Amino acid sequence: MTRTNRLLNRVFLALVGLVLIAAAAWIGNRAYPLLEIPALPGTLSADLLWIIVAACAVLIVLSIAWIVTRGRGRQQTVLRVGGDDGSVAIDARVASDLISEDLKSVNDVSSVSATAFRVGREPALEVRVDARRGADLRTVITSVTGSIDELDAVFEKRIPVLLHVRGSSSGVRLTK
Amino acid sequence: MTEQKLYRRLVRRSLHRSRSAAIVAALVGVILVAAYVGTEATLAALGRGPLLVTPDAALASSENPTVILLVAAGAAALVGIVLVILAIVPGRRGRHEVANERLAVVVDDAVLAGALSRVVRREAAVAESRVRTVVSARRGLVTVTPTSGVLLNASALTASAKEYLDALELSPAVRADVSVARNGVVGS
Amino acid sequence: MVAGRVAITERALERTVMAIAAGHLRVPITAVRVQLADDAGLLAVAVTAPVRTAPLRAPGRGDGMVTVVQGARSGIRDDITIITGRTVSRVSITVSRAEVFEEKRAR
Repeated sequence: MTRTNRLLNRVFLALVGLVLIAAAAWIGNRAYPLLEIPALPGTLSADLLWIIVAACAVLIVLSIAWIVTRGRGRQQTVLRVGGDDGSVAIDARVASDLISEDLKSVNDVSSVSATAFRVGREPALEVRVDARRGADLRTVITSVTGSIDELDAVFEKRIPVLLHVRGSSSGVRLTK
Repeated sequence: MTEQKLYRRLVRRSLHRSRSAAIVAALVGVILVAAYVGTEATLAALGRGPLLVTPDAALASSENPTVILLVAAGAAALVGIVLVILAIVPGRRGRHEVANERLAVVVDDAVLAGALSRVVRREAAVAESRVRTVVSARRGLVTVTPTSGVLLNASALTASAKEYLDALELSPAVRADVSVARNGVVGS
Repeated sequence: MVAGRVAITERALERTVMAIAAGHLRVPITAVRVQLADDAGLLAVAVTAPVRTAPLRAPGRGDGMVTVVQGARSGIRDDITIITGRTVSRVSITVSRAEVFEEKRAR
C-alpha cells in the first residue's frame, strides 16, 4: 500500500462508478424510454470491431498489470550497508527482538513485532505493539520511544519508524 | 523524500484505507466485461456467430424483456453507487495519530478508549465494569454508572479526561465527553 | 611435503565457512546458514546468522551493530582465504535475529 496513489485510486473508483450509473440509466432508458438516446447499432463495421477488440485487450492487460503490482512493499531488511566486497544487512526481526527484550518489564505491553517496508526509496520500520486492556498510553508510547532512541544508537542510523499500538485480541497472549 | 513527508505518508497510510481492495474488485469486473466484449467483437469481426448469446437475442427470447432490463439497470446502478460512495467516504480505520518527536505513532481507538476508561474509572473510584467508552473520529464518549448515593461530578471527570487526551495531542483531535448515568447501582 | 591433491567438496567448504562465521559472530554453528556461489571465478559468500548483543539500554555499549558485524565480516573474509585458500570476491552478512544476553553484574 505504500506504492499506490490514494487519490488516483479514489478518482478511478468514482469514474467506474459513474460509468456504471450512466450504463444503468441507458439500460433503464431502453426499458422505459424517457429520453432520446440511441441504442447500440445492430451491425458494426469490421474496422470498428477490431478497434473494440484492441481496446478490450489493452484494458485487460492494464488491469492485470495493476493487480499484479499490488505489492505491499514489505521486505525483510531494515538496514543495509553494501559495497563491492559484500554487505551487511539487518532484518526487521532484529529490531523486534531488541525492542521486545527492552520492554520485557513494561507490563502494559503484551507483545512486540516489527516488519520492514519501503517508503519511497528508504526502508522504514513498522513496530506493532499490543497493549493490555486499560493500559496507560503514555507509558507505552514513552517506553517504545525510549527503545527506538536506543535502537538508533545500535543501528547508527535514524530509521523512520511507525509505531502502531493495538489492543490485545481477545484472550491472553503469552508472548512474553 | 524528506523525513516529514515520509512520516505524513506513513501515518496517512495507517489511518485511512487505500481502496486498493475495491479497485481490485472493480478491475476484475472490468476484465470480465472486456473479455466478453472482446470475444464477441472478435467473433463478429471474423464473421462467426456469437459465442454466448448477444444481449439483443437474449432479450428477444425471454418472456419479459423489460424485467431483465430493469434488473440489469438496477444492479449496475447499485454497484455504481457503491463505488462512488467508496470513492468519496474517507474510510477511517478506527485509529488516531499521537504526536511524537521521533516516531510516527498510531493508536487503535479501542486502546484509546481503554486508556480513557481507566483515567475516568480512577478518578470516579468505580469498578471497571461501570465505565464504558466509545471513541469515534472526534469524540470520546465515556458513560459512568455511579454507585447509588455517591455523587459524581461529570464536568470534573470530563476535565480530567480532556487533560489526558490533550496531553496525547491526538490527530484528529478527540473531544472528551463524560456523562454520568441517571440510574446507579446500589452495591459498589 | 607429501605429494598429492586435496579436494574439498562444496559441502565441506560450506561447513568450514559456517564454522569461521560462527566463530567471528560468536554464535553456535547450528544457527549459521551459508550460501556459496561462483562470482566470475571467485568465491562469493552469503552468511545469514543471528548476532549476540547486549540489551538496548546496556551501559558502555561501544560500537554499533553494523560496525561490529563489519568487523566480523572482514575477519571472516580473511580467515576463509587463509584456511581454505580460496580467493573471496565478497562476503555478505544478513543478521536475522538478535540474541540478547543478560549483563552479568560484577560483584
